[in-house]
Amino acid sequence: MKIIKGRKKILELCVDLLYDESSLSGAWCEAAAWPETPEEAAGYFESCRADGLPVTISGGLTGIAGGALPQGGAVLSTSRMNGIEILDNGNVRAGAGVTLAELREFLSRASSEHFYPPDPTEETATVGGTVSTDASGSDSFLYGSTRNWVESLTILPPSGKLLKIRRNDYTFRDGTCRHPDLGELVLPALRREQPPKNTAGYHIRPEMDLTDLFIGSEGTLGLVMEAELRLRRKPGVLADLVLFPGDSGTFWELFHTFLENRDRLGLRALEMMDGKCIEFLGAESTPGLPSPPPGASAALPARIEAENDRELENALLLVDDLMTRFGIPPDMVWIGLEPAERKKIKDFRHALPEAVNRRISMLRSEIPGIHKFGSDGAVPPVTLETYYETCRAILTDLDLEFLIFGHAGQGHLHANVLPGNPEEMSRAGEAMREIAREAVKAGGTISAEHGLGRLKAGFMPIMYSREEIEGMEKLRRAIDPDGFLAPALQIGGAS
Amino acid sequence: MRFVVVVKQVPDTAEVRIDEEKGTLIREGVPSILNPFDEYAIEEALRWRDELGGSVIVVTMGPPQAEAVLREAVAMGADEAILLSDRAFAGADTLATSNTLARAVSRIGDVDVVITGKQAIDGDTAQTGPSIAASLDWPQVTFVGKVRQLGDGVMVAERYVEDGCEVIRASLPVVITLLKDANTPRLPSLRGKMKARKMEIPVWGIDDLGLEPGKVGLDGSPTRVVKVATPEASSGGEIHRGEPGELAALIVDRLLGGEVE
Ligand SMILES: Cc1cc2nc3c(=O)[nH]c(=O)nc-3n(C[C@@H](O)[C@@H](O)[C@H](O)COP(=O)(O)OP(=O)(O)OC[C@H]3O[C@@H](n4cnc5c(N)ncnc54)[C@H](O)[C@@H]3O)c2cc1C
Ligand SMILES: Cc1cc2nc3c(=O)[nH]c(=O)nc-3n(C[C@H](O)[C@H](O)[C@H](O)COP(=O)(O)OP(=O)(O)OC[C@H]3O[C@@H](n4cnc5c(N)ncnc54)[C@H](O)[C@@H]3O)c2cc1C
Repeated sequence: MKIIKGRKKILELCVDLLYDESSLSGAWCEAAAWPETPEEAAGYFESCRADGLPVTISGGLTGIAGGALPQGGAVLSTSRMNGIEILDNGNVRAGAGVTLAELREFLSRASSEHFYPPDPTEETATVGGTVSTDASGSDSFLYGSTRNWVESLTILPPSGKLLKIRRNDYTFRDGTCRHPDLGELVLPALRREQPPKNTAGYHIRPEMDLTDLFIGSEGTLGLVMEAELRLRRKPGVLADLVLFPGDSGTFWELFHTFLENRDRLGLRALEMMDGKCIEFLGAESTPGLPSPPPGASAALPARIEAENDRELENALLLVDDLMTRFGIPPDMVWIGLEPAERKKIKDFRHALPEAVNRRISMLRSEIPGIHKFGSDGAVPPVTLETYYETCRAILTDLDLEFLIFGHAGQGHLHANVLPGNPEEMSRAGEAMREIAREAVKAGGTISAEHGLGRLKAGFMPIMYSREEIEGMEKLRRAIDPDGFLAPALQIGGAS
Repeated sequence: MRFVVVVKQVPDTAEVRIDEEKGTLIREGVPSILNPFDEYAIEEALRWRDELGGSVIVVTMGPPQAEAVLREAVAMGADEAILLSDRAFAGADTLATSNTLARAVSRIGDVDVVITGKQAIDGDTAQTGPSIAASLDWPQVTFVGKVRQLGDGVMVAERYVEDGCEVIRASLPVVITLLKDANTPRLPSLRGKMKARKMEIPVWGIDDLGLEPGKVGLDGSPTRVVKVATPEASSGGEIHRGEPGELAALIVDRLLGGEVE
């Protein structure tokens, strides 16, 4: 097994382990290892324990909340756990380090009929990382988050004794589950049920499956070594649309009409880019990609899936009716059916976060330490308009440069702030907290898909009571009594 | 103003694999796409039509399934589409292809501008445009990076060549081959796509074009393919696998050690 020891050697040979997509700086560690087998991983756990080094698990390092960044201790990278095979039951078994791109590539060779639905945009994310953050993405509007596609997990808990947990093997009854190796696990009682799309704190449902505790646990309960994932039959046809209504009133009416007709339309995704995004994309145009049409006030990207051409035709006729009803001119509705056209629409949507990141890197070269702030809250979709307006008001009042986009169909928005100086950074932090409060007030969550990591853990008290947080900590200690895993991630935030 | 854009259906070369033994392309199972350069040709015609009025007619020569690329062009906004398809057209080289396309342009009639892509990503010869012009006896401007002016019987265009830019004034009708610099192609609109799905596309064969068998297809093709060979890769590359840090260190060592220039 490859092991690198010493802070200096780490900086020299694998400094990339200290950076992810959260743009947080200041990560460091004493050692790093790349085990391939459960035995090697267990051996490494043991030697780290002997050396007094707690372990942070590192996947594809695409995380946005900074959960994979160590603050001392040791790092265990999953990048060499890359076995992958189709099982007799039609599921796929993949090692933790298999990236989503590799999985897609493998599946396209192994089966032309099936695919793995979770698609959190960034394809260098790993199976282990997406399971551990319960990743979502735009298609989770129809398919739900990663959780829905996990059949069984192979986990190395802090004890070092390998576990295989299959759905329906162990379930919680009235918040309690007894497992031969893990002992008795007790879920905290929550004052209110967690919202449907949520990655803040452990997944808690009094009658849930034990696998669901590990999914989304962000490397705090065990190393996910391997996952058995369910696949889905590919739909006959897909269409990507982008509607550009001319004013925000029309945008919201259209949004609600799409939501109401989700089944008739066969909606797989329903997204949003607000007016600032449109302005930003217009100004920072990407070569080869069309700019938003003049006069667009916002964009409503949608993905439709249908069994066959006739079904698609019906869906498109419905969209056409809506265009007439809402007075949207023909050139304000883009569509992609052919792969090349669909790729352009995908690129158009991805151009936004990329343009934001470019702008931030430019700023950072002038003012070191500057980073992007992004909210990850979600609210019930029917209340999205109010939540959006509230976010806007908060950011405008604080005089910040911002743009808002996200998975509107799930009531989930990323308000991104581009601070221009340290003073604005602190205002941006304030804004994020304020926005998180508003999301919770509306019955939603502080984090819907990125997880807590180091960035959002501090918001936990907004969403949960002290008893609830303590209950989660107790659950964690039941599996990891001496804080061996993910020491930098404190569920209740640094107190 | 009346524009004809000739477009070609090509295999998606990003997906093409090579038969290692025979040295030929494996075309089976490879999706067909609109030649990427031709999207720019369509876009250019649409922009000038939107500005000056008139119509855009797209034409392709190919087997029946090639009509898919015509539907893509209609979805983007082309007014009409014509498929040139006939068993007699099979096996055409660039000369026979452009003879056939040129005849279609004549039959359409009153055409002011023919636009082609810079080249096809499969055949790669970039001969079709110039050869159509020769066949029609029209002026041609190749490698156009920008059409500056169009109307009143003239076109002014910028030709991007290796050592600069030539500004050319040509009388109409004219044939141009277009570079990707000229514009950014639009995405199809929903209405365009729906129109395209329903549109009946006329098919013209050898009789419709009034061509003789000896002028089209294999019989009209003087080119003989003597041998197809895969060029030798010029230098042996090395593939190293590992962690980015390690790999970077390895490259730096090699560079400093003077092993690589
Ligand atoms: C451009 C961009 C767009 C994105 N869009 C979305 C989106 O739409 N939806 C979405 O949900 N996410 C999105 N993300 C974030 C998403 O890529 C990550 O959250 C991803 O799920 C993390 O996977 P990873 O392998 O990179 O994990 P890492 O970043 O390496 O780790 C993430 C967390 O999981 C833990 N972890 C990793 N592997 C394991 C393992 N094997 N066992 C136990 N714990 C582990 C780490 O300790 C850490 O806490 C986006 C990211 C980027 C850069
Ligand atoms: C002996 C011989 C036999 C051949 N047999 C066949 C065959 O059976 N089937 C076959 O598909 N090819 C065949 N080819 C290849 C075919 O001749 C060329 O692909 C064709 O002439 C175009 O040349 P190109 O691909 O280099 O296009 P280029 O000249 O590089 O293309 C430039 C532009 O011309 C236009 N254009 C090119 N081709 C067409 C077209 N067909 N319709 C409309 N516009 C077009 C497009 O705008 C394109 O961007 C044969 C070639 C030879 C030499």
